[in-house]
Amino acid sequence: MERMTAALESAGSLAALLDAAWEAFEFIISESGDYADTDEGFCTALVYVLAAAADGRDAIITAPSLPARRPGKRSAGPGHPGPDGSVLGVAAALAALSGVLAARLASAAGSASDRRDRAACLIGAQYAREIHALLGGAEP
Amino acid sequence: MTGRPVLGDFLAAANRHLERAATQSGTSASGRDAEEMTVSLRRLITALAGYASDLARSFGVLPDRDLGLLNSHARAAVQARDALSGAAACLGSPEVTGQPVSGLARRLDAAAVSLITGRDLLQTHFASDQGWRRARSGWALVITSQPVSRALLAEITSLSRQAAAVVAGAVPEDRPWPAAEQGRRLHLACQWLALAGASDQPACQQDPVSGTERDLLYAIPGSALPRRRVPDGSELVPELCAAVITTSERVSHLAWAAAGEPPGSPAISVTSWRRIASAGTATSHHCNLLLAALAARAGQHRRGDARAIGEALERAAADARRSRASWLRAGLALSQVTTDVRWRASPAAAEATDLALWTGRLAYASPGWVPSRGPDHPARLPENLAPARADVPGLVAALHYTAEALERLAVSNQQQVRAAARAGRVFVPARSLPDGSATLGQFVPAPADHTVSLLAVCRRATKASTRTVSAVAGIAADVRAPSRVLATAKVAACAGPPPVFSRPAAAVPAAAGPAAEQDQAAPDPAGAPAGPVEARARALGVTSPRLLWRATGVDRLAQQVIADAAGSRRSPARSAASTARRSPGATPARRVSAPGRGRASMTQGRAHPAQQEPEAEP
Repeated sequence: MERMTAALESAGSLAALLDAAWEAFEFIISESGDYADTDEGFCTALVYVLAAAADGRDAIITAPSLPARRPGKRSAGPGHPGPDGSVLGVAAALAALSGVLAARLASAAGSASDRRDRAACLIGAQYAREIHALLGGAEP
Repeated sequence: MTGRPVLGDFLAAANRHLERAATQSGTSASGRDAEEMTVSLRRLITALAGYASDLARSFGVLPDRDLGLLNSHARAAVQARDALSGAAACLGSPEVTGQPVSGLARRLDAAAVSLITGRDLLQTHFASDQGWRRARSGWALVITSQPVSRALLAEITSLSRQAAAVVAGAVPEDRPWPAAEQGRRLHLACQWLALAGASDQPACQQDPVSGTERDLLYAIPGSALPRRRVPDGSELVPELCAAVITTSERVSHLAWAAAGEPPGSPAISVTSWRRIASAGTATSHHCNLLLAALAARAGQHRRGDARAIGEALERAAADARRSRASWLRAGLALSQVTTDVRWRASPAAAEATDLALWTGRLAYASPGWVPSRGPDHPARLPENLAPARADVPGLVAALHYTAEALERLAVSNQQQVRAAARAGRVFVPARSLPDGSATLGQFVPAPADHTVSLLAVCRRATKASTRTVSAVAGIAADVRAPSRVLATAKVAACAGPPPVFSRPAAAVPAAAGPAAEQDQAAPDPAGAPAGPVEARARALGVTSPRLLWRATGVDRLAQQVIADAAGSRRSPARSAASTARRSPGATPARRVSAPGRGRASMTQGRAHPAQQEPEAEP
């Protein structure tokens, strides 16, 4: 979780940012799916987050500057340890991550030279904002 | 129950107008009255004939020689249509002379307008497509179903009998009329009307129309959707229930339309599927909470059947919980694939999200609940949800409509996923594949195992939703919730249109000879002996069923005239009221529940002929 946030914040190029954004959306998909319906309770917000994260991930994939995945690199998919065992802890962590994601993608959209990169970043930022709002985060 | 106009409103109004017309008959003495009555009766007959034509539409184009193959129901529809045509022909094409003055003519006009409006309401569920009727809503299948067709024919024949009795009673037979020719034509038209009214008697004697079938007919709404509603946080439970029902109806219709999208339609997108899956998961969760709360409430009641209903509610709550899990699994599977069209949510998806919001407002204590609230948000207390036992049917109805809408959404998603997969429109991100780094392109066609498992989870969501609907429908029947007509509609739609032939058409000899035609042409299903006109027609070698029916009709009309004449001799001062009393169509009003309106009952002034005092054989 911290690694992903750091990767987003420290990405020095559009390619690095898109790679980190893809990882972040995949992570959100995985976590929201795992924690939406647990013994602890049912979290409606995470159910909606799941759909929004998948749409955001699809947006990032359409960016021409997204690099091919490095061989052997594991995605933060299923099995990735959550930030905290509780649903509320996960929701808070995902809210923070989506806030950073939305801000970085919105910023990248303003500076990307390729039209399709810009569109991908804008759409990705829009879905990241939606996730952030669903999880009760303040305006990123 | 949602404030939408339903067919029953117009059928009941037509019946009411004819009942009131009966009280005004016997007063017609002037030539103007006769003219007005002729014009108004023709309008009414034309309105009735419109329904009969719709009922006979699917088999009315058969050649005459095949009409004998029709079963009793189809034959009755064709006979009613033909008799009504005959009645209209008797009256010619009278000139319209403005608004009628006589009370009787005004009532006949009002009945005609009600019937025309009711038929227009039915027609809103169909579109004309190069001469074919195309369904525009899920109700179209219900309207053309066997139970509704039978019930509608019974209504039309009953109204025909009623109109015949009213007009015949108003036209004096035993004294000169200012317009003798018009009087003769009116009487003849009434005879044809009476014949139309009797056309379904053999079919109804074999298989009477049930009250449930009639309730369903009366509950058919127009296809115009109720207005979309947005919560403002001030709604109380009854308003929330009404909004849930309204939104469910919108969702059901939009999901029905979405399920029929062609495989290449740009309206099919993974974004819609995902949004629907999310809303389906959330709404199922809310149903689970509400059913559990109602079960707890039932446990607090001490009435005899409360325990059984409480147990049924608990089982339904468990079904809703399983449905929630199935929807969530579908959402997870849908997050792993994509389509060529993305980021475009369909109207059905948007409305599904609305439904989740409305049901959430009903399920949770907070009046401003939104999905972003966390898992620890308190649910509404059972005693606040249904303070009185009388509140339970309304809540069950809201849940019933919701469950139906969820099932429609599940079917829609399943059908769209299947269609898109067949059209090669389902993809996966290349990066998600094990060898994604080596794959050129952003998305690759979904591997077969992906599509198979995706379809499997969608199918499971449909099954789970269907199970929940069944459970809630059972409770709706138990507590007599106004939504129980939904279950009847579903059964009717599944049953399909009425069978047309009394035996398989394939069994008909390809080159049926005259003997076979003669055998097929038997026009009187009741097996009554042929009258003189029919016998003469047969002796002349007539085999056309349509001609033989007309001959039978003439025989029956003649018998009716003789019976009436004999009756007149016994009681010369026969009044219109007594005529109406003898008519099955003018029996005292009976209360029939009309669940679709949320009212306790709806006046319906007709009963099945088989349930009436036997009418003198004409």
